[in-house]
Amino acid sequence: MTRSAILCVDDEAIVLSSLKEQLRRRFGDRYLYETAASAEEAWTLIGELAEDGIGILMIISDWLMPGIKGDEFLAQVHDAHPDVLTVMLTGQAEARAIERAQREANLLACIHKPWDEIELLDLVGASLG
Amino acid sequence: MALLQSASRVVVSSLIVAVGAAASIQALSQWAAQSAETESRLIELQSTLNAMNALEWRAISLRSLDEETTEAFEHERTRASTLLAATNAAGADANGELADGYERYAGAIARELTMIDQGRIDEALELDEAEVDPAFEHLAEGISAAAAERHAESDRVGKLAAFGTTASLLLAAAVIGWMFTRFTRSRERQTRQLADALNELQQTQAQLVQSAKLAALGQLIAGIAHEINSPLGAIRAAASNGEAAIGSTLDALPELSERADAATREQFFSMVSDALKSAPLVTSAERRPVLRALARKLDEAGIADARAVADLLVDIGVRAPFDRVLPLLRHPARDWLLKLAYDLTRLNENNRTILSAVERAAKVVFALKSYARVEHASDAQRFDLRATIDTVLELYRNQIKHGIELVCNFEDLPRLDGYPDELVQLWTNLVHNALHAMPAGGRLEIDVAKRGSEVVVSVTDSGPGIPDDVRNRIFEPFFSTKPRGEGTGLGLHICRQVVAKHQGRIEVDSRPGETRFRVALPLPASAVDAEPEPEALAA
Repeated sequence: MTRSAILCVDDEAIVLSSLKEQLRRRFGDRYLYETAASAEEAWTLIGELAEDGIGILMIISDWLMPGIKGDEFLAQVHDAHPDVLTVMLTGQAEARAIERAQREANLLACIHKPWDEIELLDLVGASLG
Repeated sequence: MALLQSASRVVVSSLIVAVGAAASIQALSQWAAQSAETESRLIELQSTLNAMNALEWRAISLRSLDEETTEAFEHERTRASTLLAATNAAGADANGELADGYERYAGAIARELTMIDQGRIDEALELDEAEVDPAFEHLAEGISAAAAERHAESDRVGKLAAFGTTASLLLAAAVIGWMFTRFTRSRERQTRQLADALNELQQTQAQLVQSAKLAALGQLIAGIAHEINSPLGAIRAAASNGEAAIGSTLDALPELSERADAATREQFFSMVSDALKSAPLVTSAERRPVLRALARKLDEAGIADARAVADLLVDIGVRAPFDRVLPLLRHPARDWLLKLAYDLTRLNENNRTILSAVERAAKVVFALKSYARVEHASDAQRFDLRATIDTVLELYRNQIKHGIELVCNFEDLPRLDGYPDELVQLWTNLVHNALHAMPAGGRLEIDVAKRGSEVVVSVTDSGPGIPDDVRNRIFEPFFSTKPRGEGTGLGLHICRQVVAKHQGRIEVDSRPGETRFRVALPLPASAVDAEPEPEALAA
């Protein structure tokens, strides 16, 4: 059985760990749940998954991260993989950055930390069908 | 300026009074001196007459006029004429009484001496009694009266001059005193005005310092919001996850004996127990290779859906060697068992997440609290230098992790005496400037080292450097190279003040690619005495 992945990108391990668990508890083994601490690591991971024949359905990314910021990363992803759904999950983001992500990354939503579990999971569930 | 003018006015007025007084006193004194001189001339004239009288009696006793007496007499007569002329010139013989008296006396004595010379001694004695003596007495009386008058005049004038001196001095003192009072008053007024102005300036400065801090804080707020909201999000999710884990664990446990036999249960609990003991894989970078290796082994072992199972196992806490869990993975109730194991171990993991998130948020709040404090402790206190730097690095954690390589070399240090809150501000400004100099990333190095009796803290960035023409001005207040509205221009000025308050030094070295601010702070005497200086060690 080959499944697709939901990729979470955040530089805080505690966020990745708890977010992933929420996704797993809601969606079980329907998806793979992958995590990366930065845009750079995310790209490496996307490459590895592609080697294993695993596609990415959705990326939930923080905005304020080391190196490339969330809006730019999601725009790059959208460029390379237009089908991937993008969500920003952030404690703080500039309005300009959110606008850019909406324009250039087809941003599904920007959810603010501390996020509401139901809101986030419902969004993911509804978008992925 | 005004102060200087008043001061010079006092000096000039005092000089005028003093010069005026001195001039009149000198005139009076001269007058008194002149009177005294006339008096002494009159006394000398009297002594000349006495001498002439003595010569007369010598001639009478010798009954002849010898050459010596004649000569002496001539000498005395000349002296008398000179003295009389001088006395007259000084106005002491206004009526010519003395001159007339002398003429009479001189004439009479000349005739007497001629008589003696001619041997007419008896006649001479008669003349002496009839004319010379009365003339002498009369003249002596006149001289005595004139001398007494001169003496009285000299005395009066002298007293007047003395009084004048005193009066002048009193007047001068009064004038100087008055001027000085005015001067002091105006100086007091100006001093008060200056003190008010200084006070106002200090208040303004305090406000500026505070607003500089708040401006820096404003720039930090964005990062801080993120710093607080991330742990809060994690706490919220972890708490909810934990609740879910307990719920499903309680639901599942009663079924365990039905779904698994004793041997499987033992394998199961041994797996959970090992997993709980395993060190958590903190970063995704640590986790990924473990996951890939496990997935490959599972695949080799013929486990279906290897990657998903491996991922779940890693989240449960299973690490290689995984042979012991292989029987469980081949168990018909594998998914149910792994789910239960996941719930049991995630309870622990979620607790760990919450604790770690609370610690993160508390650190940020603590750093903020020590940063934004308005009132600085007025007394120096013993503090840990390292903690003040950590506070700032904590606040700037977010900015620092964006493309900035942070290198810290901290030597172990004794505690210092000083004002930790203000040092927090000092490091904040230096770190803020360093990061500002490296918008596209770079290297921020913080070194703390003991150098003799000092601690030297260096903050080095790999930015473009400070241009030469700017370097001399960076510590000036309101000097800023940042765009208007972005910098207050007070940051480094405040740094310098904080350093001065600690009797320290701040220096800057800058070239393209390396700008180093070096702050030297004195170690407490006790810490210096405790250890010999490096030089001493080398010797």
